[in-house]
Amino acid sequence: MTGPEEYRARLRAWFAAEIGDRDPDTVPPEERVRLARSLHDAGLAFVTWPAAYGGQGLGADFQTVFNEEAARYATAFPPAAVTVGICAATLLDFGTEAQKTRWIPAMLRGDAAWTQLLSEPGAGSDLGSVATRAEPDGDHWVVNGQKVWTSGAREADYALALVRTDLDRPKYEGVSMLVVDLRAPGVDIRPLREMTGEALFNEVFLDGVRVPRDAVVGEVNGGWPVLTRMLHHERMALSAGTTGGRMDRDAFPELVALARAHGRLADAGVRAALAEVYIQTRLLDLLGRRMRAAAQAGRHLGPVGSIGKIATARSARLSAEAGMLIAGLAGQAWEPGDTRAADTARQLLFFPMTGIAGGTTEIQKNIVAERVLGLPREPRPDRDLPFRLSAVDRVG
Amino acid sequence: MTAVFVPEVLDAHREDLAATVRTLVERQSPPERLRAAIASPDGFDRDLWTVMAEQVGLAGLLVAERYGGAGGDLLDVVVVQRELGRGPVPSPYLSSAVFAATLLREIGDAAACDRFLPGIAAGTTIAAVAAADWDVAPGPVAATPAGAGWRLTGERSPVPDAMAADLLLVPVAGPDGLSVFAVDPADPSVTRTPLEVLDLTRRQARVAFAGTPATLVGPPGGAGPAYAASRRATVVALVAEQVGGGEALMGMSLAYARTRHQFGRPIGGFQAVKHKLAEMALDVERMASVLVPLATEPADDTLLHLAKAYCGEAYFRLAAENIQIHGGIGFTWEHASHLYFRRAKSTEFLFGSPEFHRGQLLRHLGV
Repeated sequence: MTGPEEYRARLRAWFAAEIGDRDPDTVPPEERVRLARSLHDAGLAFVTWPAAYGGQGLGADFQTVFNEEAARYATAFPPAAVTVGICAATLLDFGTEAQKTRWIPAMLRGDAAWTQLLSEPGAGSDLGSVATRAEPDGDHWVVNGQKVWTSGAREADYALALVRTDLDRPKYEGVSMLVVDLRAPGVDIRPLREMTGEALFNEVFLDGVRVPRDAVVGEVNGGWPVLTRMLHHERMALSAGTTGGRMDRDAFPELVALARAHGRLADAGVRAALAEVYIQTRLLDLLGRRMRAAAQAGRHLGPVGSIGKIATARSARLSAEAGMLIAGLAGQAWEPGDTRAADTARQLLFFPMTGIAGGTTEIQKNIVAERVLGLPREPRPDRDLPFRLSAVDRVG
Repeated sequence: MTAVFVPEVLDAHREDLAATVRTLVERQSPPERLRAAIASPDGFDRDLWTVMAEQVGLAGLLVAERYGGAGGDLLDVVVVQRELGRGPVPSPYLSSAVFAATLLREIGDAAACDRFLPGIAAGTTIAAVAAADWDVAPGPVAATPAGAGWRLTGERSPVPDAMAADLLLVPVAGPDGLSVFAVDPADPSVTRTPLEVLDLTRRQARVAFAGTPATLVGPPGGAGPAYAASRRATVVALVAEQVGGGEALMGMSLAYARTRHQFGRPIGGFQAVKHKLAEMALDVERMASVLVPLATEPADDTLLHLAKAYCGEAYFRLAAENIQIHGGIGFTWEHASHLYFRRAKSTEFLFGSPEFHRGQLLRHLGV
């Protein structure tokens, strides 16, 4: 591929041929998987990834082109932010050569879906307090514990799991990152129903799950730096569009259509809301573009993805409330089958999650303040205690 | 260009230009000289202007080389204005080197270019454009033919940098379109009355014309597109100034939050203050993200209106939060906070309010 514009032309041709005028929302799940593989096999997906692991080794400007061209077809593909943007990116940073060649090409092609096993009932914002145990047993680890808020666990094949491998070290020094096969015996996945009525998240119970000893990513008891990098990738993927999709979505065209349908396009309040939605959404695109350019130029970024994550959550709320403003009464009571009104209400019920999942807005602000702006850190009295003592209520 | 927190990726030439202007501002516009400049009759530091023009070539940055300029582009201007905005440096740069120079270049009237551009490029002619809003409304300035030339009657207000100007370019909206006239502001028929200004770093005046001799620049009624292009460049430069100011405020607030102690620890360790600063970083990063696309993708009018709508408001939020973080010292005359605070609100309204630009944005999006 000679340049971004040739890439753009090829993408357009591919989308026109494969999806055309179809409503991407109506593409059935099995067809989505096929489309993802076909896009990858055509050499058009994840082109900024190294060629050795299934990418094309191209520059950040190609990702921008992809985001621009693919945005309107996003729902015709299985979501890749977690598998590729977070899990594969973390493997690329910390995996052994054997792990990278074994896993990454399949992740990029869409042959395997991955998720993260991080939060626990007692470890939300404070992930350093995870208590799920992994204990050595011959050439395996035996994992026991409970994870929660796991997105896409039922669809995923593998997970990167943060587990405690040493109770006697301080909390951040006794955890490891394991690759867990979610089809293995002892894995019990139970959907969690959210306020939208959907179940995007799950509880995952791990009961004597056996994991090969070489399935550790990074060092044993060195899981914290892996997690830190993983969260960095997560915020970049959710906000900077490193894999295409963001946590929010470009609601502007739909909101304009909604305003037109309700005959409210001339309403001053509606116009102000529409302009603000456009501005905030476009600013996030521009910020993401600058982040990708800096990353591509090899500049040290630090956890700036947290800035984007805060903005993403705010943008989701802004769009959701604009929809309700436009719909008015029709957004709170609608005819069965009025999908537009139903979706407007769904966006409203969806936005609170965006300021919590992937790290709360408050935690993101702490990260920005402490690790981007260099301000003093919050006091952490349990930091240097052996985990056994700091979490005595959970580990006995 | 300044690294904010997401590092800026610029070519070596622009990195050098940014560093040069930044050093110049740090060395030649320290707080005491800035205060003296603001209090001076001109409202800016003439010695500094001379250095900017003669040693760094800023006055002629956008002027073609054959007129003694550097033949630079809008990205160069953005780099410069970002640094001048950090100061903030009071100077006629925006009026003369950006607005007037671009207007003359875009009209392309050979006689006017020959006559005015060398002086503008050298900094010896300070030019101002008699406009501060987005649109040039018809009247109250009227142009009438008089012999080989024209005469202007009426008044325009406010006009930035009018008092310092050696040359006034007056856009006049007529039934046949927009015309631009060159006027010598020293002519006895011109009355310039200084206005009280919110932004102490940018002087403005009311300019009255009483049968003032004027030279038509370009064809009568044919300057509309040229005027729009120069106005665009001016707004882009103004946004860069806002971004630079926002970055300066971020730096000022951070430095204070790290060093000011209360209750035995830096105030920046309190979560309420940390979160305020994180919000400021969010604004500053988003402001900075518009600059390079704005300067390099000139066809995109939605981005121009977006940037002008957003950056003015964000700059003012930063300026208000900066005062809050500084506490009592923050609202004193001696502290620099209010210079940015004043400038932020002033630039929010120069060349169109956020509300106006939101309307234009939707119009360009076909809504």
